[in-house]
Amino acid sequence: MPRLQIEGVNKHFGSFTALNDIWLDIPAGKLLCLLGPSGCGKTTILRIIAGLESPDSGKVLLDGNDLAILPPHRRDIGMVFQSHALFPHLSVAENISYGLRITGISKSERLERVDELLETIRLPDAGGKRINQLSGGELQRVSIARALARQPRIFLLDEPTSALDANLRETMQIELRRLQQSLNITTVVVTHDQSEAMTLADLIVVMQAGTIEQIGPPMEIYEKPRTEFVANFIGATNMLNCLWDGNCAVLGNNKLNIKSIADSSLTRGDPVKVSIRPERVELLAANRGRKPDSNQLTGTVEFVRNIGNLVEIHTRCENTSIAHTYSPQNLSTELNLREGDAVIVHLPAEHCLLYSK
Amino acid sequence: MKKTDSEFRSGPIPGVFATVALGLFFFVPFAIMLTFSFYHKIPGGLYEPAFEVDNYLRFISPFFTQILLISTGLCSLASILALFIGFILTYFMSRMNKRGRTLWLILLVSLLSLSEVIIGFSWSILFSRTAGIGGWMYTLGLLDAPRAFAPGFGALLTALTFICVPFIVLVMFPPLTRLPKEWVESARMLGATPLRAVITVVVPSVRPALIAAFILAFIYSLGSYVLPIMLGKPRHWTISVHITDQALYQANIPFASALSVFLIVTALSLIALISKLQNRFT
Amino acid sequence: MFRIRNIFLGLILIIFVAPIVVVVGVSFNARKQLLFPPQGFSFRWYSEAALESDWLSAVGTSFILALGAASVALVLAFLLALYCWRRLGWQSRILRGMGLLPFMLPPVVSALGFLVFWSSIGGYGQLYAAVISHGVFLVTLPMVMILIGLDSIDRNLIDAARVCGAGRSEVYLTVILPIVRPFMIFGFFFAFVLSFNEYIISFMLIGFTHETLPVKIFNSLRYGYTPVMAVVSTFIVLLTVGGMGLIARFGDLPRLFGAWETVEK
Repeated sequence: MPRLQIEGVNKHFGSFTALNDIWLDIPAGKLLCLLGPSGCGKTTILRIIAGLESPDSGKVLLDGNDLAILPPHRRDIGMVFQSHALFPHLSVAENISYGLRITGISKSERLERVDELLETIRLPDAGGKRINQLSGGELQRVSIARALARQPRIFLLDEPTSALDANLRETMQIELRRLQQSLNITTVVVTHDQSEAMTLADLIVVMQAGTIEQIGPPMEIYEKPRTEFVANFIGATNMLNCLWDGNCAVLGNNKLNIKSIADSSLTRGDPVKVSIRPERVELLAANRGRKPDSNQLTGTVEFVRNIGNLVEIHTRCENTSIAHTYSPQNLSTELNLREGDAVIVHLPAEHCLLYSK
Repeated sequence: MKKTDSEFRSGPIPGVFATVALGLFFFVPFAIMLTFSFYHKIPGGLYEPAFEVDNYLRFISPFFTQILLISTGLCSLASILALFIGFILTYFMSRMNKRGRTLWLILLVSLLSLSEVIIGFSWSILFSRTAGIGGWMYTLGLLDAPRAFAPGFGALLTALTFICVPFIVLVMFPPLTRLPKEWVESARMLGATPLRAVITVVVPSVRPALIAAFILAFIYSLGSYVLPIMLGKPRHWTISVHITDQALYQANIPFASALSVFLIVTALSLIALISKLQNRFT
Repeated sequence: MFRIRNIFLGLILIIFVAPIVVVVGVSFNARKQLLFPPQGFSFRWYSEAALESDWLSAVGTSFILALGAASVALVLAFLLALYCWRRLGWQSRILRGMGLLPFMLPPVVSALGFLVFWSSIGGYGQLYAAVISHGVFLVTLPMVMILIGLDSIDRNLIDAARVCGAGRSEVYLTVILPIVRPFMIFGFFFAFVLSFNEYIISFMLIGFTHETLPVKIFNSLRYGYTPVMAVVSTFIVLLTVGGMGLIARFGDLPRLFGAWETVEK
């Protein structure tokens, strides 16, 4: 399986900058997720790899060879479209064998390959069906089979599960990941769904407004989001507006120590933001006489909800609402809190992240 | 570097070919007609190249004023009647299920395609003494003696309205079917009667389409040649009849061309008016 | 409200169907008289129409004219639609306008235009002149239909085909043409039916050399009524309603007409 590299790609549509100096290196056989809100340019990257758009400048390299001279139909790439884009005038089997027919593969070979693929996508009897007889999940599977029929060098998927309902979506994500791993094919997936990205990816690329915000393995992106945007986009977080005090952040009258501070250009009085994941927030009983320690704030519980596998508690302190979540299975560690209870909120320094501006 | 275009579409060749074909066989004829309208008519059926406006000067005559009055009067009356019927019909169609809509559309499109000769022929039967309403009314005792209603103004107006209604529906169908059903429903919830809801909600929101439908039906009826001949008396002949009459029977191509040019200019300015109104409303 | 609605619809239906019913009815009269309701019942005039060679030749002329004109219209409409598809510039707007104009202008002026054109270059009275003129004149509806067909192609389908290895001509042959084909067939049907029914252009161009069916009916009316006219009219009515019924059966007629407005803009 080849290695895919994107080097300094720029793309403009009129005066709109779709991509601004994009560099990516996707190791052979790995799955990379392009993650970002709609309009961030992630689909444009996919289309540039496929050859459906040409970059204004920059290169796409496959095992070191520039793809620019190849039109889309010579690139040997498999692509799954968001709207599945199956041909309505062809049957399932004809859709899957479309690329083989174009390439001039013999009929017997085609039939064999189609059967094999129908087996892979677990629809062995669907070959003769029309496209409009398929359900959403089946459509998606057939379009994956069509993309893989020619054993492409690169596999591209544009929002592969966005048209499916929630339950089916998770099943498809797991199936897709297992398929990709068994084929060991270099893959790029575009998604706006962070849990899809976390499920599928070896590497996640978070994008915003045509630029790359952060590249890294899923857990690194989750644990150490480099920018405020990434922290907000991946998972839920508490984003607290504070002021910089020279060596710690200040929220109201409370000092918040931060373990790692990357930004050295901060000066006293600068507005900063402190981010902490809800599951890293700790709540302590506000017993009589107990004084808040460092990184601890007193507050009042204003909202409690239990959604079965998760309990979420919002506490108001210093005019800010701080969310805290825990699994109800770990009952021993938690207090039985209700709306209106006084509580102490602990924001451990090692889990607080600081963002300037 | 070879550019791959993101938008897949045809090259310019089909456009060039279509332009040449339409230009040669549709626009050149109009250009020739325009030229002929300035030619000089020689008695005896021929004409000679000239540049004179005599053919246009003939418009300033009681004869032509008469044609213009009867044409515009008859056709605008037919268009208004057709607009009224067509609007109500389309509104009801827009609230039918798909099957009902399809059946009505088949009927209307068939009538729209049906030769005017046949429509004229059927109406002339319907207005005849022996096989038409004149005879039936006598049988029912409504008339003292069987009589024919055609040729006559009423018969011609009926038939013109008849051919305009499908045209109106064709124009009104898209905007009326796209109108959210909830609009009328919410007007009803706010206390409007069905009729009031239609007048206060539906009519204003499709006003540009109503105007367009009226104008297009007007042009359409103005172009009818067969119906005035078959169902009208000579004094009901519209401008289309006179164009044909001048061209084929009076052998006066220059004057026929001038009349045609007048009709084209009228039609085009009305069409321009529609697009202007539509731009203003949307 | 529902009562008023049904009365209105019923009344309109009666008025719309009445001419058809009357024409069909009088064609069954036993005697050579114009009577409705028909007196007696006979197929006599049908066999007479089938035996009269000048009526048959009119049917033949109309068929040849309609076939030729629909083919010309289809080719022109396809080229126009193909060029205008996915183009927004002034060229495409002009071409769309050119395609819509024949439908919007009063047919009589187009007829006169064709008359002066063909008598200037020779060809007046020839069937081919009528075929080309009808083809140009009837380009609008096929164009609108093919445009609807082209617009219904999801751009991703084309991208998918290209990524699957299809070059330009393969995209046309394996994706675009198969999807647009039904719309082309309906467009052809439409142009055929309209050409078969058309009177004024046929009359002006070939009225004195090749009589088409509508021209023949019209001419015969001047010499008085015969039930054979009602018979051939019934034939045209059946052809027209049948053709439109077929279009509705296999094509989504409400959708075809619903999209009319978007193309017009």
